[in-house]
Amino acid sequence: MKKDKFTAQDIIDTLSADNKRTKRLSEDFYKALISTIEEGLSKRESVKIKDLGTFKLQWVASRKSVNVQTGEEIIINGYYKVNFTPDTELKNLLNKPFAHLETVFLDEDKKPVKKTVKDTIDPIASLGEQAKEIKGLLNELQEVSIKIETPDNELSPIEEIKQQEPKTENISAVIEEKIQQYKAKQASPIIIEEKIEEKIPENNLSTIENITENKVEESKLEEPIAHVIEPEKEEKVSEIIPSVPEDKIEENRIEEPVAPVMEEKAEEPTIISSVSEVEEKKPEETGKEVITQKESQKKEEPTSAPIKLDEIQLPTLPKKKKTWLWVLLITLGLLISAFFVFFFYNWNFNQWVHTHILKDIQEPINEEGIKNQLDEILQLPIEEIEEEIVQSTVRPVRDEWEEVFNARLNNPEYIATVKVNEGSRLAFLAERYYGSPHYWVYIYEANKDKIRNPNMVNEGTTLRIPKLDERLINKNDQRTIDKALELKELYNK
Amino acid sequence: MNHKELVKSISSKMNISEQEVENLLTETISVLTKELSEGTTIGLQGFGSFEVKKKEERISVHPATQARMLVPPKQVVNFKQSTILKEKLKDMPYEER
Repeated sequence: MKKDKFTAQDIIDTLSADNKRTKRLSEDFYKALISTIEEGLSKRESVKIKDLGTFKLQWVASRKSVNVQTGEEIIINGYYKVNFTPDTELKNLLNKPFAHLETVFLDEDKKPVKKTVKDTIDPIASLGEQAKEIKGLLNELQEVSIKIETPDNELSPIEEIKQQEPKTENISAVIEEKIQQYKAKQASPIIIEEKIEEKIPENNLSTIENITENKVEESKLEEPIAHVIEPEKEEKVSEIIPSVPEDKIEENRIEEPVAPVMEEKAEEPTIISSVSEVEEKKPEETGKEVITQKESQKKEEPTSAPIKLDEIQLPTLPKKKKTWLWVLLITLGLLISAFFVFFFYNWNFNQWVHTHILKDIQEPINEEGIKNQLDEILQLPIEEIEEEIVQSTVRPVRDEWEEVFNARLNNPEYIATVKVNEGSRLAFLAERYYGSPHYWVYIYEANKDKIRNPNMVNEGTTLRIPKLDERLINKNDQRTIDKALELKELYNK
Repeated sequence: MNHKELVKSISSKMNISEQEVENLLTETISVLTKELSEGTTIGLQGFGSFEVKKKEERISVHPATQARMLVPPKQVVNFKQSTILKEKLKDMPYEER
């Protein structure tokens, strides 16, 4: 246990302990040391001890004071006080943790600014800098999200390909429609997926073919849902099924390694695919021989389809080199926003899926039920997107206000100058000019050089009333009052 | 009074060699500095107390050039005389040096 105070006795103890001196000697030494220092001081000398520091006497002049109880004025006589200046050795030792720090010039404010403005900036600057950084980030995010909204309407070439692609397959028309609806409704998330797909051929062109070859096998592994949901059905079916919605699986496959964030969105395609599997069974029941043919067809398709995609995408790559940068930026932004959205909705959505979909799917499914479920699924993301948009529209207003608040000291304009009368207070002036006494802090800020104590303005002082942005002195806005109170706290310290 | 004078004065008081005093003194100082660097307050009865205080970083403005500087935080030793010492020094008249 470390004592929080080191006493004279401790010094004596350490002296006698380490060197096996007698306690008496150590004690005598300590007493002699102290008395010698005192002697030296009483001779008005400074006493210097190597590696420790210098003791010096300092005269404290007599001053007037007031007896707190009686209110009488008393005079405190001047006296000598012992001043200790640590030696450089000791100073360096103490400042070891900060040794690497040096005085930094803040060059940003080197321009000659009015002295009054400068003084007021200082306490706020550190807060303002952080706020600006955060604001900058938010603005970037907003810009990105705006750019994302524009490509929503135009379908990218790959998407068109995809829409054509399923037609070649023997999937029922209903499912196709559903998938397209889903795609259209979830336009923004799907664009992410596509872009990720686009990226991959760029990065590892050589590996793609291998991937597509393995796809059939992998897709079987990745679709445990299919096995779980239809244990009663023939195994053959479940083997065929995974190969059918190959474009969906591809999406899943790509999403998973890139961002676990996309899990939420990835879940929906799997559900759809499982649904499509169920519908797929019906032709199978009618004639099993036909299915074997289909099986062979479908197993060929997945290998050929992705390669087609690649072939189409590749030629466009060199032309769009600059756009790639944008695409990368946008995807980054989307990923970040999706990350937040995911965290926000993950829990709710998962629970919803568990309670509504998974339970229902395990029951015997009829086609209408599937459609309804699909509709429900498709409607959900729109609400999320809408909420997101609402959030993003709320932000800029707040930022703007913060900016106005931070900029209030930069170019001070004055609407009036007032000479302080007896009994006049800053709060009164604030009420007269701004409509609420809370805003007196702004007057103080503008006249900081003249007002020593904001609660007591000297009579006859000429004050300038700064022109403030309407938004800063909007009485109905609680933020303005909060901010003013915050400043008040700061200045009353 | 510098270090040497201090040692001489102590040795004459205690009737021991200056070398011995020197040893004792360096040891005392090393103990004191060690304790201070660990942030422990040292209280010497009848004399005063040493305390390490941290001065936060601050922005200072050069009065002539208006250049703003960020001064890093630092530790300082604060010495506060005890009331006993204060009483002793109280009656000392002021004297211009």
